[in-house]
Amino acid sequence: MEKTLTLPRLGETMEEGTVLAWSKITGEEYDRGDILLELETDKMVVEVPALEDGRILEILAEEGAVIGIGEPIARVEVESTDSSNATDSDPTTESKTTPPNAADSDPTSESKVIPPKKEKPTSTEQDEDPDLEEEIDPDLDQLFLKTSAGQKQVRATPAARRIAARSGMELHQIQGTGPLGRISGEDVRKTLAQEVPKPEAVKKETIHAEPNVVETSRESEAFNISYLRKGPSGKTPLVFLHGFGADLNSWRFNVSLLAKSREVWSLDLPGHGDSWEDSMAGEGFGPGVEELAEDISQFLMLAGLDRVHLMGHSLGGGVALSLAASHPERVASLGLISPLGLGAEINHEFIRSFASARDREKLVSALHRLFYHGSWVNAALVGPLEELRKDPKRLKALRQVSDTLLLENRQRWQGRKLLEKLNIPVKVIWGRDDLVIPSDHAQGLPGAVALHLFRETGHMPHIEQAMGVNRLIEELCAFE
Amino acid sequence: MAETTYREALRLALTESMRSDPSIIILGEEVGKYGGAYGVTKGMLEEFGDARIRDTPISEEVIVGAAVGAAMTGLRPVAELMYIDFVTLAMDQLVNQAAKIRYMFGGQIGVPMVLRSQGGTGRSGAAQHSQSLEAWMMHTPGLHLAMPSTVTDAYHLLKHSLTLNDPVVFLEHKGLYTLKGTLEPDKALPWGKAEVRRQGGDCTLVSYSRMIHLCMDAAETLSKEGISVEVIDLRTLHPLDMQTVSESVSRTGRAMVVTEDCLTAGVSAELSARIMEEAFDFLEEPVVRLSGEDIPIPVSPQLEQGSVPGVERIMSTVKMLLRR
Repeated sequence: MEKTLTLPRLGETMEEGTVLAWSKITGEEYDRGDILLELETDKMVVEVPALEDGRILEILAEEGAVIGIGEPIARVEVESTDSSNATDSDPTTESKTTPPNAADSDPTSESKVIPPKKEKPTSTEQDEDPDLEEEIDPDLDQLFLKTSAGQKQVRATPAARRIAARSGMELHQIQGTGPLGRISGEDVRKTLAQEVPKPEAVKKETIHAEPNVVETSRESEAFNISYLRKGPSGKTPLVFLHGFGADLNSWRFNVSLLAKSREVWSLDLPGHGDSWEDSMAGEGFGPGVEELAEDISQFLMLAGLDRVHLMGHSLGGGVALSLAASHPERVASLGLISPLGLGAEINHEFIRSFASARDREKLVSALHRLFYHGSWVNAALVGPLEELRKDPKRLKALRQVSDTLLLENRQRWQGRKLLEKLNIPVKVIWGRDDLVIPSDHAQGLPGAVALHLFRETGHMPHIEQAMGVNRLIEELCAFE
Repeated sequence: MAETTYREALRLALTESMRSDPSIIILGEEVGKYGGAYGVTKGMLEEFGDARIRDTPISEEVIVGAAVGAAMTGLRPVAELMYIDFVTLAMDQLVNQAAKIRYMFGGQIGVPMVLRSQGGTGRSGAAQHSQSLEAWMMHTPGLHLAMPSTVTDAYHLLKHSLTLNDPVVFLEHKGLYTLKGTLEPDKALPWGKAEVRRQGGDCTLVSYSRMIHLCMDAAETLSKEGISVEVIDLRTLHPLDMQTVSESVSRTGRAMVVTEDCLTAGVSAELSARIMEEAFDFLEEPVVRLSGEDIPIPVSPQLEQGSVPGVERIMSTVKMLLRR
């Protein structure tokens, strides 16, 4: 099946991007997960991965081209006819029935590697030859399997690799100035100096024209909960709750797309992001899951959100589950992404090292445990977290929250039984390679709960599998 | 303090040591009446007499063999070979005896001797009188190896050699005997410690003996072009102070080894391998070696000069390393 790849949205403020380099040439086959091209947006250089197996038929946006979101970048051939491609900017064209990994599980889609064709002068001649697969010499086939499996080699000096690893830079994102584009340590330092975004810069895009805080109170103390609101009103709004130590930017790959059809609210949990007050560094602070659920419940009422689709990740997942159980009438559907509370195990070493990491090296090493692909631990992720850690009060508050969440080395709060009572659509979404909360907590859930396991995915499926997760959330919200 | 020469500094070290340690003797061809092939021991026969300053027959095996025996039986001999090239004749005494005795006798006895000789190019000595054979010594466990480049180091390294309880090969350079400099009597670095002769940030030159002076000249000229070169003088090749080298390379990210001995399986090979092992994560470029050609040293002064690194080539290789 032939289709057109369009420029995906890769960041909250991104409206257009510049094609830096294609990693695949016309005629070349690629596997799901292969990097197709490098794109420069206003903030960073990102690699655009393939979301299903396919083959490039024609590159429509050449290197150097500036293109807007949704504009075509390439014509490709994909094997499955029903699964959508994540680079489709229009979510409405997506199939609601295909499981996310359909292409992988379909035995007919097992790909034979076709030798990349030399680029031909006119695109019309490049259409695939239906008999091509049969013509391949088996030995040749093997040869190409081997070479196509290799990652694109980055030329970088040992010094560059060391500095990049220590600072969480991805070498692919750096322009090398050495011979044949070799990246030097100096290149990495220069890029680091330019690219580490200040947290304000990231935060700015979340500030809405209207006041973006709602004052809530716990016992006698009043505090603000900051939020980002986006999208047209009308349908039941969608609310995002982030995980421990994160903030509302955690949803940067989800909000814009989902906000096309409905109002999307992403919140900073108390003690996180801008929902922060110095008093939270005091001894009394350290809300548990249920306490946070009450805070959010209060916020939703004050913000006039009577009924919402609620999506939570990790700690936010526990909070969402607790809130849905105590206020079932106010939750239309529930999405739990790698949630807290479905089992006892948790990577307490990660929680503690993340909560106490002061320097960049320790932080980066902790963050690597969140993702299956280390490339997600880039300057854009590390910079703001590092900046926040300069404030000892914030670190202290984080440690206090982590002390509340852990009972010795296990999860304190258990919400598994609550799932039984829920009478709304619920999806549990997990990465099979989650190193923080094991994905086998998703076993043995009530039959009405849908389970989605992503392979080659860590604790952050909403980032690592953003397109797939976005589609699942669309499905959850489809009922109202 | 008055200037002195490399030759005089060596003589001073020998004389002072012999005055304070009666077990020190000197033996070799022409070391007595003639005063040494390069004049280092001139005048010492008169002060110390022919029991301690002994002219020997023309037999390197005898010179070194007698020194090994004397060392094992309580003396501290300084054996002099006119040219390091002739060490081939004494290799068994040096490699199989001097270097092995302590091990073979379970540590009960050592060979506290110094083998003084000189090597290198610069006097049209031709293929049999111009070699740099330090790699052979460095390759032999059990031998200390000192290669002084300056007047002060010639003095201190030789005095230090005469206090060690194991054999020291002390290699002078025939081109340095007339080198003038200020002898700093108090500047005695620990044995086995390299010295940073010039500080710089763009790359590290690692060298020893006469090549240090060429490296320093190159670094001076390069500094006028805005290139900042660090120069490390190893002083001894065994022990080898890799700590100073890798600290420097970790800072500059670029290393170049300059030696006069020939390239293949030479000292530069060992040094560059060590740098890659110890400072790999800090390197911006592969370690570069600039060494003598893999040829017998020619007698023609022009060809002889061209067979070993010169200032111009050091400069152009630094620029290549820095891609300028």
